[in-house]
Amino acid sequence: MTRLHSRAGLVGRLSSLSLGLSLALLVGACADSSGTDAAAKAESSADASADKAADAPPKEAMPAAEELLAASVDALGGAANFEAIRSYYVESQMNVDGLGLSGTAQTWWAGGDFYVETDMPGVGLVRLGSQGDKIWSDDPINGMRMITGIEAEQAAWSTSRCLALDWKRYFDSAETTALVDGEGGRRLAEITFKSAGGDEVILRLDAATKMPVSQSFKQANPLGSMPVTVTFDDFREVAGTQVAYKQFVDASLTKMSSVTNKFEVNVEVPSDKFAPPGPQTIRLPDEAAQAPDKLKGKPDEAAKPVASQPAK
Amino acid sequence: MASACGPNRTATTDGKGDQAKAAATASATTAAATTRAPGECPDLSDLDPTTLPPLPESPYAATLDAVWRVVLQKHFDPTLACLDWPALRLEYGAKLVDAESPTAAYELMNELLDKLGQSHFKVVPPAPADATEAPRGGALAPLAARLIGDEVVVVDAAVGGVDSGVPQGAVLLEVAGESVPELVARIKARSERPSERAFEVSRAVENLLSGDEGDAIALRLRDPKAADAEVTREVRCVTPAGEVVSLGNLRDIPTVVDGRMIEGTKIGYLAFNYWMLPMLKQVESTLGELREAGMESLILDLRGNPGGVGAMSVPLARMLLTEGGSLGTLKFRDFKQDFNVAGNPDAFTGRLVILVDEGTASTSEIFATGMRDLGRVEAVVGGRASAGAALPSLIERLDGGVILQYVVGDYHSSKGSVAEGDGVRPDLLVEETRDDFIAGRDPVLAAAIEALSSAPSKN
Repeated sequence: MTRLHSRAGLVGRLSSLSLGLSLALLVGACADSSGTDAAAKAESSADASADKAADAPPKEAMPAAEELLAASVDALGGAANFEAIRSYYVESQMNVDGLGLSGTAQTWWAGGDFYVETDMPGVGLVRLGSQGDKIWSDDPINGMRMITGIEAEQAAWSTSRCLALDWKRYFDSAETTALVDGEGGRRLAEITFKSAGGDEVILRLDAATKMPVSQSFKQANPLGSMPVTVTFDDFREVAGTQVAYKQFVDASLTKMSSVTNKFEVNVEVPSDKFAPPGPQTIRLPDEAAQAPDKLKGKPDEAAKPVASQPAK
Repeated sequence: MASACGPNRTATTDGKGDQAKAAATASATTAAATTRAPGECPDLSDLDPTTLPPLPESPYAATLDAVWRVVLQKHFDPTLACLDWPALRLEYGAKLVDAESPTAAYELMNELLDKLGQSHFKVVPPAPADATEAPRGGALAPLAARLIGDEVVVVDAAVGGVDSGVPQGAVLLEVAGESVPELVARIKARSERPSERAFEVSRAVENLLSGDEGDAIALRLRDPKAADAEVTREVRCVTPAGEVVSLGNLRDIPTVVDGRMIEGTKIGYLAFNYWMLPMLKQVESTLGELREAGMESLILDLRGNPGGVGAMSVPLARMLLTEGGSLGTLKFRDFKQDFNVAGNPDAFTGRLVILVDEGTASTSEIFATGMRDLGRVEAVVGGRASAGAALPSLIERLDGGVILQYVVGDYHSSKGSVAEGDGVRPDLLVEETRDDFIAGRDPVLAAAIEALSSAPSKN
């Protein structure tokens, strides 16, 4: 007879939050300088904001989104400075308040391709990469897979050099949907981005300075989605642009912070950095994986084993 | 969650303590009904705690307020089981004034949480005074004991390859100076369900059997090898084998994965003692080794596995499901998550039986329930239902080192089954007796082997 010793005490469930939250940190590369303004208090979720939009002043009374975004790009250093960033590398430290969880994240970006590696003790290594139009993920829970849909869209825009500048790459429309009061009497303009795939992101700008304050969205993951608000803080100049070195993430149940330790631009990135690791069979998105018969009839390119690439 | 648990405005150094106590007492007496009538359950999501009166002055008021707020803000049910949560805050704030010891104060706080009627709520003081409440060290006496009938019986005399020297089937009478029958009586008085009772007893005894490496623990027991004469023994704590894993406030969890072929059969046996993500590789490789050894059926032994990281159930299910499905849905206050499992063409497709006992809790229960409702499990086998403690929770460290575990979500399987409360009921209920353990038998495992040795059930 063999029984394994376990401690029943406080062991419970952490559901998928650790992973979800670590991915939630991959948000926005440019933003505000206004201290812990916590605009999230004004608007704690995309839903809440959408609801409040109905009560907002008439649309014509609000500045056009494109004007606001252009002004925001200028406030953040100007389009030319962002365009001059051909690649970047970021190291950051993550901490989940109260739960004792912490980890590190490294991001490489070059010409729209990206590779993000998050390591959280007790959770493991979470990797997310993009090369061309293929976005892949490898994590201890869901394994190696190609990601599509809103989850892929969010992975892509979250590593943008500056969402206010690059938004047309990821979204179909941007509309000023509300003017709300933020902490400290600041007036905030809410701009709602919508993608063809259904992703919706609310970016809040300081109406006076046009600096980004926070953004809310429903973070997609293989288990569903959860409302997330990210607040930006501690802006510092990097290559003529303003970069938020601190981000505070309110993910409903948990709050976490990300502090940037290193931000380098125009670094050399190995050409194979963004490709899915191999060789191995990469799983399709869930909807395809759950319909094996369909796949047998019409193999998808993504179902083929990926060519061998050096492991990262 | 600093905003929920930092120093707060109810700290009672503002001279308003008496007034607050009077208000609290009045509230507790005149508005004594802290459970509301059906249909009168307000959504407390928008309740602003700063608008509430301060709590009466006591050394525990700030902790109570922090605990109360976390539950108010994080529980999946915004009506908080239809309780009058603000009134309970005042009621227990007043009771804490008269608490004569830290133990009494924390018992009161746990009593408040118990009113929610759910598992996974617990306030643990920085230094528990009661040795049954928390492990006393990272090492354990190498024996396992469970409540069989009304007695705590040694069901395993050796753990991790270390022999305790205590005979299997012995009845524990005293551990580290603590009377085991009295402990059982205390737990029986506060636990309603048999599995809950057995779970609490096992946990308390295990805490008594813990210490630092090499610590000696005195036992008084009835020895079946000496005609049940009362004898004393001394066992030494050993550090459990296996990789030690930490995840946030879950510290230094010794993880063990055990796999083997049942001799003379094509039945594989797999057990692991927690659901911690770093164990996945070993679980996967063990399963692979069993398949290479010709395994046609699998016994997954989740007895004594109290849970861990719920998301680990997804990759394990993927090792056992060729077609995708959901292990169930977690409903939180603002969102929900589905335990979606993608089908895996390389998954093990043989017969599957899951073993449970009162120590099977949380993620183990969700996995067993979810897999059974997906039709993947031929039978759940056990001597009694699982713990019935299957709600998602978080473990948070509050100011002063107080640990709070609290429920954040509700769980239903794909067929709507719940595991909270009644637990996972075995399809094949096996009677366990002390004689079985004296004879070195494991009747639950034997029943599982027998079930898998016969033709599959058509159901």
